[in-house]
Amino acid sequence: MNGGMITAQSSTSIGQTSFLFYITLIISISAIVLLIIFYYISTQKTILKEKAESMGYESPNEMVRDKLAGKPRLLSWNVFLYDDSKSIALRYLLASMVFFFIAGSFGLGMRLSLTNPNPHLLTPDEYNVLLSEHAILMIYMFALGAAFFLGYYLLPSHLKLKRDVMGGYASVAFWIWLFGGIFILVSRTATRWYYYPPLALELAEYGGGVFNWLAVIGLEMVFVGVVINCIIIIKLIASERSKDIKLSEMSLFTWAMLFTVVMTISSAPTLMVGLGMLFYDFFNPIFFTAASHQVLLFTIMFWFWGHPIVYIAIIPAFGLIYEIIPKFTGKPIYSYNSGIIGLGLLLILSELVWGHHLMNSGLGVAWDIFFGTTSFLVVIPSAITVFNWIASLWSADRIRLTTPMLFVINGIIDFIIGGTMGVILSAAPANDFLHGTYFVTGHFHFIFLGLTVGITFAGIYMLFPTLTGGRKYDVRLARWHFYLTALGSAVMAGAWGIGGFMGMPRATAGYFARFQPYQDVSIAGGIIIAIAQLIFLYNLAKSYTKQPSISMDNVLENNPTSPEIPVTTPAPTPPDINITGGAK
Amino acid sequence: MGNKTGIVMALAILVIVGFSVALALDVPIKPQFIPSPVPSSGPEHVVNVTLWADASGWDFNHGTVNPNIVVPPDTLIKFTVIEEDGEPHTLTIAPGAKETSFSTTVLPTSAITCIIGHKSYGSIYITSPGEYTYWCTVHPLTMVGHIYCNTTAKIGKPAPKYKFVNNVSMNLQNNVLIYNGMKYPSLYIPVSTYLNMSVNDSTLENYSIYFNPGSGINMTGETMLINQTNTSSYGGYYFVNPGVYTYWNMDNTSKYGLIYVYTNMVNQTLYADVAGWNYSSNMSYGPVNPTLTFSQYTLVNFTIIDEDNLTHSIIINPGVSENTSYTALAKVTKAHPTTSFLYFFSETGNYTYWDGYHPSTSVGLITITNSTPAGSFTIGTQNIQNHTYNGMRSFITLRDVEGLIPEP
Repeated sequence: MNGGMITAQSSTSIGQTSFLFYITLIISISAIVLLIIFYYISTQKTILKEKAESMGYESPNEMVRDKLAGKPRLLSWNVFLYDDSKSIALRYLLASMVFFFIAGSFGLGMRLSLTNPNPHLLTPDEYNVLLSEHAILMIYMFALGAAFFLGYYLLPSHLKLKRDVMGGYASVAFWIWLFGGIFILVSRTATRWYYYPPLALELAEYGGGVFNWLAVIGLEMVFVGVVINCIIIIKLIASERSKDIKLSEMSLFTWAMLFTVVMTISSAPTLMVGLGMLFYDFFNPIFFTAASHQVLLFTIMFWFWGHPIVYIAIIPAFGLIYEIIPKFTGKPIYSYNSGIIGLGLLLILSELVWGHHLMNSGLGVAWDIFFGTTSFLVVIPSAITVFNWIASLWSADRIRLTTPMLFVINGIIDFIIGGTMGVILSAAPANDFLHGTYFVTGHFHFIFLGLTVGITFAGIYMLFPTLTGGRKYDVRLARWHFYLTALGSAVMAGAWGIGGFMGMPRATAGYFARFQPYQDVSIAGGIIIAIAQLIFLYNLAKSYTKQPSISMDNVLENNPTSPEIPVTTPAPTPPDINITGGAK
Repeated sequence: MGNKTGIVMALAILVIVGFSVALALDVPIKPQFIPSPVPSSGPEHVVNVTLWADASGWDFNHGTVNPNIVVPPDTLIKFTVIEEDGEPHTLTIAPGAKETSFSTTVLPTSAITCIIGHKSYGSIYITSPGEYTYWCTVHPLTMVGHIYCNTTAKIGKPAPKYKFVNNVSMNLQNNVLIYNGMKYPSLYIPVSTYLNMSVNDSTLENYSIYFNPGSGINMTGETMLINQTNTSSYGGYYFVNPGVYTYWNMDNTSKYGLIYVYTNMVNQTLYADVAGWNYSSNMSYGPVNPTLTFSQYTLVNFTIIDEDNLTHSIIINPGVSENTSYTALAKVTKAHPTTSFLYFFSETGNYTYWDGYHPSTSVGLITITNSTPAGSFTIGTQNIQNHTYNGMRSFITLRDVEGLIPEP
């Protein structure tokens, strides 16, 4: 053996050694971190257990639920240890906020990449990943997460729960849902939120993404978590409700949650089955291959769920609007019964309109007419709801324009604009031309930004003193958060709507140069929205730099709207007033 | 609960968002089967295969369904795929007896359009013996066949061997081909040259490169060099007829470049003197204002040397008299006494060369005949010659000439 050989060997072994060293270092540090977390959790659990035993409870969870029932809950890391309904709610709040910011940053990335007609910041592959992840995470992780946050947080108060015993299941459902979302994120799927085969079956960066199989598993897990949650919420409403609250006295938010979960349970199974078949196709392509002539079958299975999820994402917001308006007008909602009828009609119609997503897919003219007609019919419950809100505002003596109320009014306006665009799309001839354009993107971003995002923030602002343990948010910053969000979403979605009407194709990494003005305007809108959300984060952090100074009560929990309760006294004090009017 | 929970949560969100964006932008790439490139000297064998794309099977109504393709090693299989049933298809090839994801898609669905009868073209170079599978990813159950590569296969005629091979690599910027900062450089190549043009498309623009005979874009007689794509690609053509060709990008036809295919290259030196071209007191430069005779398609490398420290220019125009509408091709001054330029004579007939500063004394004739040049021409050892004059730029590619292979 000569010297050269020895040198070559030793240099190789040094390379391997340093690699092993770094791997060992990373594993060691991770193990230490995990050990610290485990130590913290197990210590807390032991303390809880001892306390529970000393107080005569069989399990710590029982004590937690019993002791914390009906009390304001704080945002804290302990929510991951407790499994009463409100702790589960706060887990959903934390997770959905994290995913909101992740998916939002993906949306911003797409906007920034479209400053040039040719893809320049992102490659088309990267753009496709961001496009798909933005949609999937926003819908399944943010919108559904926020809905469960509101449901789990407000329902126990609104229903005056007899007992809160489903926490164990809810906790499991949360973790399944969360890991499903993480799997989807890690999979870096590029299949858009449709998972259409054969694209989804092509495990390559130019197809559905190399790890798209993981996204299919992740979405199935999300569904399992979501369906468990829906069953729990139905059980909360149906059998755990206090006898004091009759069905006809339930708050409109409760009705909205009920319709939401019924809608989910009745439509999710088709796509759950479809995803199972899709996963089987990875190994043995028999279901959704073109050779089987059943590719369209998956699109039908998808949209049978895909349209209801759109309503699932906004109906909790509808319910919350019904709760927020009376708090700032001082009068009950204009018509309680028509509120229920409007939401209930949406439940029924949501199952009958899915075909309007497939008007270009060859279902046939007869079906196009059927689904176009049912889509037009959606105008009736939507109008009932909107007019109910407007009538409530109209009949008010005085409307206090606090930040949550501003979000509500903006949500109503955005819903009217976005809904009108939806009506245009439901006409099959117009749909042929507008389907593949940014008009559709503008349509649903108006609604999602105005309602899902805006009303969730309105709810967070109303619950702010409770969640933060009696802290105040900076009203000026909150106003800026609102104004910029409203302005940015109108600018962005408006430019998409106009550009889309001119024929600007959506979901592409580049565009024709003649659409540059619309893209530039929407980029400006997107950046404004991003700045607004950073203001919200700053506001949250800033509120923690001061000591708690106000009451932890909030009007959403303590005063569930009910037509039977006449409002004799002035409206309950909302958090905004507390802040400006001095603390207790 | 600590007082800083909200601050920690806000920071945690930002950190998690940062990691998520970094993760999402790290798009995982599927390992792909990359066939060997065709060597610059050309493939050993070429096999033309025509396949009818039908969801029921390749060549479903045309003889054997899913035919086996048997080729010797080092074979370029040129596929012609004809749309049969109006459905989307791909032509995907993988080594081995089964369909695997370690594959290359020769023709994607965008190439095999759903127009019945549409022909699309693709090729794969197979070097090593073994079994390969070709299939359609849309119809993997029905449209699947095999390629067998073995040394005993006797089909396919030898590919034409190229006398010269020229590789030229250009960058694509704003739909314009650029070499070393020069937009659409003129390419001078000897006849019987395989011109292999590779385009570096770093900005992922759409483009397709064509050429046609003649000077100027002519969309009726064009030939494709590089098919419509948005990535770096290459394509070549074996130029066997001399003349002027125009190469251009279908996505931006406002600019184009020229390819000069010459049969003969001649060095011609002219001494510029106020008393006449090649005038010398001792007549050592030969006759004054000589009549120059070249054969058609000759590329003449003129060298102009200033003889009397005055300023001279040279103008060449067709016809037997001076035509002032033509501009100067080169200029010599006291400061720059020597210059050279290339002139390609594509038409027969008479030309006049004259000095723009001394038109009455320095004027001569060039006669271009259509006779075959005697003897062979030399390529020379020069690699790239940049020549700039009056904003006019020319460019010679005489590189990679070591692949001199006798013509069959």
